[in-house]
Amino acid sequence: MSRAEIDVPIKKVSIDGQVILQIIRHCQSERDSTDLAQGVLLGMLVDNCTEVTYCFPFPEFTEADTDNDIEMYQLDMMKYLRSINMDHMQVGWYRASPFDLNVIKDMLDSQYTYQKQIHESVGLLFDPIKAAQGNLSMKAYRLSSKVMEMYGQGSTEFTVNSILAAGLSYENIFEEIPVEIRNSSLCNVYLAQLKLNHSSAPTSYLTLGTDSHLEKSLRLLSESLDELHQEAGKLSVYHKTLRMHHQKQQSLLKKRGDNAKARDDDDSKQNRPPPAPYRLDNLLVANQTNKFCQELNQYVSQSFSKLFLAEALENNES
Amino acid sequence: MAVSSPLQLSVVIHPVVVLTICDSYERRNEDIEKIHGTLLGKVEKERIEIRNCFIDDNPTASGKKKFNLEEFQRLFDLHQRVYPNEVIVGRFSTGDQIDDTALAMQALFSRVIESSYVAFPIHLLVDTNLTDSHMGIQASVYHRYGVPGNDNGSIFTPIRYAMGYYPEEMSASQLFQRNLAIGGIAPVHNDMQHVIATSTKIDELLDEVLKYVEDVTAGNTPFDSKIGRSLSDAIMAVPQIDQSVFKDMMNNSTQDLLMVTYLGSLVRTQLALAEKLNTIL
Repeated sequence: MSRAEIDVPIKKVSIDGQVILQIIRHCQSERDSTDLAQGVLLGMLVDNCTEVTYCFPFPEFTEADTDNDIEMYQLDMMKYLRSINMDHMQVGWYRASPFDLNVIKDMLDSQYTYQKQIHESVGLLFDPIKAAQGNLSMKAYRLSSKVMEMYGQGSTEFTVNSILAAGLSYENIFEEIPVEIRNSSLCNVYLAQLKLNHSSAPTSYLTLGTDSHLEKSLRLLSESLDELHQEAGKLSVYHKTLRMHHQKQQSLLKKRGDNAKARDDDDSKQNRPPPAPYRLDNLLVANQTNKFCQELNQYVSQSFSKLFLAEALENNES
Repeated sequence: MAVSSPLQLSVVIHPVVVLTICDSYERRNEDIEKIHGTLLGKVEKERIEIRNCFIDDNPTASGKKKFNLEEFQRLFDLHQRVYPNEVIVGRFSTGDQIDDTALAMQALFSRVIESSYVAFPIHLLVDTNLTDSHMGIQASVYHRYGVPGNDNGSIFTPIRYAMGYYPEEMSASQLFQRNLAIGGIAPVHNDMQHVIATSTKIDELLDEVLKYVEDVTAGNTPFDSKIGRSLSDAIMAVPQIDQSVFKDMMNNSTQDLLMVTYLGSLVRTQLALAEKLNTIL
């Protein structure tokens, strides 16, 4: 816990408009491929705000690429950026996540690596589908310090008891950090004189046809519920084996009586209780499911508002 | 390249390019006035789409840094790994006119990497000095002229360009413009806030239209048949929906949405319950 007190909490993430456009561009070019676009965020820290001022994309790595290639690419890129006076501190990563797809396991891994190296790192998720409909959606996440501590101690640490002891629940794995967008004055000059043609602007977020989106979200939800169910199954199997193990030991003890107590130590070595199940997946799936529900709720609330808007219009007309 | 005259070219610039140039300009070394760089994009017949750019290394204080072609090639290779379809379409520089360096660079580019260079290289001039309190952006085409095999001149012909947006870029640009009105820094909206913002915007626009129409009918403003026609087009665009059909639609959607909300809450209850059970066990 002492670590958490030393840590400066990150209160917000501020992103340059340029970075957002670059992420959009990257997602756009990667739209037809199966891989999700991802890349590195660069920037600096000011008090408890992470400022993202530049980013560069990762190419699609093929099987033939070694870790070395990836590192070389990053190094080359950083070297270039330093030569043109860009901020060259890595402050996180970004990733396209249409429909908040199941990226959560990867997210944990990469966020852990980043956050371990640079404490203030953030993970940025961008939803290209919402953006294409006219609503720019960016979310920044960080791992809570509890997860950082436990994950660092090795993956075997995530057992029922240790999770309980740390007070970890599916709700506090990730912290969402508010995002704000900032542009330099010069960029603002340009933006102000930009005449956007509003008629070509995407307005599909005002359409009422919501079925396909709902369907997709519900399907994702039910998939993640399936996974959750599997995890619950694993836990109950564990409890069963544990109970059987206890029974067996009890009966053994009774049979032998007191005189065999000396050999107990030996026996207990052979008769180890079954290994505690790995519970991290369960936490993550629960977190994902919860996120789906939140998304769904948000979606429903905005759909309702649109519906009532349409109703008011229709009633006025007649 | 089938294009014979640069006047047939249509140049499309994406906003990311200008913002990147502005940002890099603000980060230039203290003692230099202009930055130069390379434009990348896609060429389809006479349509040139400028989608990306990268900036040359900052010249040293003396301003006489030699352009390192090897380094440039390496950088371009890095870029190609991510965007394999993009080619070099031209150069850019900042300032209010094309200077000697820009000219020399254009000449160098068309000579050295002729094979991968487009037939009509673009030069983009971004006026970051804000001459006349305005950020002028000018696109021109670079030509060489003279006797074949013995170039002795070059010329920049200004051409028209248009800004191009992907839908995502459009929503981002709109968000940026909206943020301008409230001081330039703003949080990202969630879905609900977005709908509210849009409805407010529509409301304002309707008010404006109403005011105009009232002014015209009162005779305060001269009428414009063009606006009148657009207005009537807009009104015609409102779909006529049968009352009962609309009601059905309303009911169905409301029920669907309510059910989804219910499901969502159910799942969250389950999650909370599972969590509690785990703590007890």
